[in-house]
Amino acid sequence: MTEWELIEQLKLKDERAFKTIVDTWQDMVYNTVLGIVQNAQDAEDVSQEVFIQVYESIKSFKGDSKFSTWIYRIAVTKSLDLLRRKKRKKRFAFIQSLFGKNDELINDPPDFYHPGVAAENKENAAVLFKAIAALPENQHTAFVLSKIEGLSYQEVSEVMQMTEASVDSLLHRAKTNLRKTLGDHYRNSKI
Amino acid sequence: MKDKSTEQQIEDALNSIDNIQHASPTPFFYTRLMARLQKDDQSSWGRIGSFISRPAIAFATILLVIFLNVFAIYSNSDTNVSSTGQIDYATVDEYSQVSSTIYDIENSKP
Repeated sequence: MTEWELIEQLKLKDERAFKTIVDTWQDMVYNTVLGIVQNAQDAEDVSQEVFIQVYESIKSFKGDSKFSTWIYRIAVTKSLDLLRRKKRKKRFAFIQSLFGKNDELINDPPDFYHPGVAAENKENAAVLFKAIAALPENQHTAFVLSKIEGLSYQEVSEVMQMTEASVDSLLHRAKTNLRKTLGDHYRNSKI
Repeated sequence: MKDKSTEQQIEDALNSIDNIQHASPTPFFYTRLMARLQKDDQSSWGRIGSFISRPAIAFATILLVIFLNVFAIYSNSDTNVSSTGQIDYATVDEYSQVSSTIYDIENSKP
């Protein structure tokens, strides 16, 4: 079955077509989401939401972009939605703690160890992922899509709906910010 | 020397994700996905609840309730007041009911 036939079958809510799509794209979706949300359980939940969205919104896919591009966009959107929800929750919990209403400690999340990183690089990668998490959303997304997902500049520009020059600029700024954050981290750790 | 060492650490960190392998979800991802899809289909109240609980929707609803309450209170406090400042009891008389009870009937007998 070609991709277009699969999509047409999915529009008819054919389960075999849906299973084929999930089997084909689940690793791509999970890896992208994991790179952004940096938590395996959250990545699993968000990945499920991505495919549910694909299932429910397939009729709105007009074919003006590649199917993979459309799925990447949903994955990025859902991932960023989760990060925003978590930030709001953290802010709310902090305000509650000011009024003595919340005894929960506001902890920093534990270090994230990506399963695809070689063992000898795990500690360095954990520091890098922490710095990635501190990037502004667009830089964070571009960096994950390019460096972790391995997309070309053209593919990243199609997913993020911007020019390749803009993607290049985002990645340049992301690297500058990462160097600064990493530099601060390593200098402070030596004090 | 210290700066060079920091620079080297930065480079090592930036290069740590070179050749990173793709991660995969845990086994039976499709099974869990289908279970969730079927559960979501059954729970239309869940969808309504999640829609109402969106911050923008919840906030707009609260504002609407407050506005309606203020409007109701403002409307009810708009009563007639005479020039002497005494509340006009005419409306009270208009609505007063003359009710006869068995006690009134008994008392009226000679």
